[in-house]
Amino acid sequence: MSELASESSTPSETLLDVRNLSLYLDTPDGEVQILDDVSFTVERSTTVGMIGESGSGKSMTALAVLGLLPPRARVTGEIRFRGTDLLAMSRAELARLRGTGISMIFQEPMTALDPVFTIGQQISQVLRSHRRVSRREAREKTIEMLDAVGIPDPARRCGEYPHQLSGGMRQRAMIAMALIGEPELLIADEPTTAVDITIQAQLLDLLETLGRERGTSIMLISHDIGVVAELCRRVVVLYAGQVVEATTTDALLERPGHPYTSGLMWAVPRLGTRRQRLHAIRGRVPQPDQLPTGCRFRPRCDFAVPGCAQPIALAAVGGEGPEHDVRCRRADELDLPGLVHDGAEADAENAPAVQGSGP
Amino acid sequence: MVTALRRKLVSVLLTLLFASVMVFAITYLVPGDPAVVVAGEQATPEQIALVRSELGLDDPIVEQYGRFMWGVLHGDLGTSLFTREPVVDIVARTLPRTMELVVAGLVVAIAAGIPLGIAAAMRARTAADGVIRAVSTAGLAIPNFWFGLILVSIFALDWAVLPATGFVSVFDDPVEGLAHQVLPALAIGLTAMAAIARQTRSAMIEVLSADFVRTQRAMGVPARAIVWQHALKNASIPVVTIIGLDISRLIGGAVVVETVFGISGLGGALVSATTQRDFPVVQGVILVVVFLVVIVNLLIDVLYTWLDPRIQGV
Repeated sequence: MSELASESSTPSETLLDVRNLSLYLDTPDGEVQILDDVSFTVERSTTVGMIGESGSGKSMTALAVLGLLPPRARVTGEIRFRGTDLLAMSRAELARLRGTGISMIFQEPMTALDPVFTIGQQISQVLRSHRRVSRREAREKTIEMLDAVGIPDPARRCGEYPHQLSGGMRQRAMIAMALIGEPELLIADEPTTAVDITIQAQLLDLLETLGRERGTSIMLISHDIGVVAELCRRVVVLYAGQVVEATTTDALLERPGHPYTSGLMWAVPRLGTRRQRLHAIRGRVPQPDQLPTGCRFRPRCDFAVPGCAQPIALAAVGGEGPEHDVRCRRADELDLPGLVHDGAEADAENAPAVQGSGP
Repeated sequence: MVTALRRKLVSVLLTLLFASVMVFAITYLVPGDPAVVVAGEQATPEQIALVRSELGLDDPIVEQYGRFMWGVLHGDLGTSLFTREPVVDIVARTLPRTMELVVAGLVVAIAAGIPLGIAAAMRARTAADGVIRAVSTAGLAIPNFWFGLILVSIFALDWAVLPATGFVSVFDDPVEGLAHQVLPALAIGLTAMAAIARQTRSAMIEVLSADFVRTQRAMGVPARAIVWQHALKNASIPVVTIIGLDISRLIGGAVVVETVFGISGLGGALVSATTQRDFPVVQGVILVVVFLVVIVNLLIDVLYTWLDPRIQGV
């Protein structure tokens, strides 16, 4: 514990530094690569979004950071948290780090909470796993925490079971559980996917507020670019186990560098557009054992040229402005439409047919 | 909750009522005339008729049943046709021994079965898991009287470390009581232990892969607490169901195991009463056993609501 504490006083502003993370899963058909050379950082007290379709490797990345991968997973690379490589940590050290250094909330709060213990019991157990506090003190802190996440009448809710709470309240309870150990990094894996759209906005507000007030960095995992744009300063886009684009949210929304990112933006239905045509990305994410050569998005991309069959690395584009890395051979020549132009939202009419797969 | 409990109590009463009819009907369903039994094989028809009217066997059936139930409700289970001892006294003498044996068997079954099941679940599909599964499969297949005889021949006869027969209550003499009850408890508890271990294993494997276990790990809850508190409580519903069934089986199994170990318990009383056609004793003992099983099931149902708050009342 003291070792970790001394690490936290290093001047580095980088809280989480994932470098060249590759992940392999042992399957009956042999080893399959799930993540390929994934690198990204999370700075102290900031928010980073990770976007991608299901199967892109977002959740696996999160589980790798927490050391919660299934036993049949093999990992290479580095995951540095406060300067210490988590992959070199013992089980016991990792267990101490979880909840106090890094914590994680999950998508479906009905199944992600223990149905036969009250939420108060579950939250105070997390606290008591990390700190020597009396039962009474743990209960008081739990009620405080429930209050902080906006659960009304927290003293009574404390004694209720997950099934007695609404979906939004359950997710708030899970946030309380994740934050009671005062972690520096909160990983939120699709935290708003299972709730109503109005509740979704409230939860995102809550995460934003809690993150700011407590100085907690947040890594938000989502398939929804809108959710990420709402909360995060920086965005990492994952496709088929690779980072295909990484930059600030503003830069991404204004000028996406990768056809996949642009396609994701235009695949989201929005209100207020006069024409409701959606620009779906054709095809689906390839299976990890059936990846195309070169650019993995190539078979689904309308801008693919023969050169795209050659391997392509993540490289900086643009020049001035915020750092903007893209894994696309044609990133500099393509002028892909973003959602925002000079601060104004684009509408469907001036959206060029990015994917060309019209009706 | 209250209405559910009331509904449950009504069903318990109906079960007991049905059981009482069946028990009462034993007199007529089982071959042999109680009047002949009492009067003796050499009795004249007149003597038998006299006994029959003395026993009230000439009265209308409904009246006989009414008299039987009236007695039962007043704690009178009749008297033995042979010894004239009140059945209530026979039950009071033998029941505590049987219950002590059943409880001892249950303690063995639970204390060994649950940890074995958890150990197997946590090492699922390894050699240790295979051994535990093989042992529990064997445990289910081995008849308890045979296992009892094996135990006696090894521990009582070959090694002479434990008594072969007899009964001493642990409440009278803890040391002697334990010594006398270890082997019967093992014999009677083996099947239940195997069933509990298997059920615990499969339930734990399922629970340990649940989302909430991942949540707790992600938040740094120690593995020990996750397994022994959260997973075990979640897995306990099917395990408790099995334990409930096992209690009924243990009470039944006690009849045989008591004979092996020479313990004069409820089982012994039932067996000798049956061979002698001592109907009041048979009826009384069965009624008491039915009552116990029904009560155990009621307690299990109440336990469910405590274990799983999602169950709205019993």
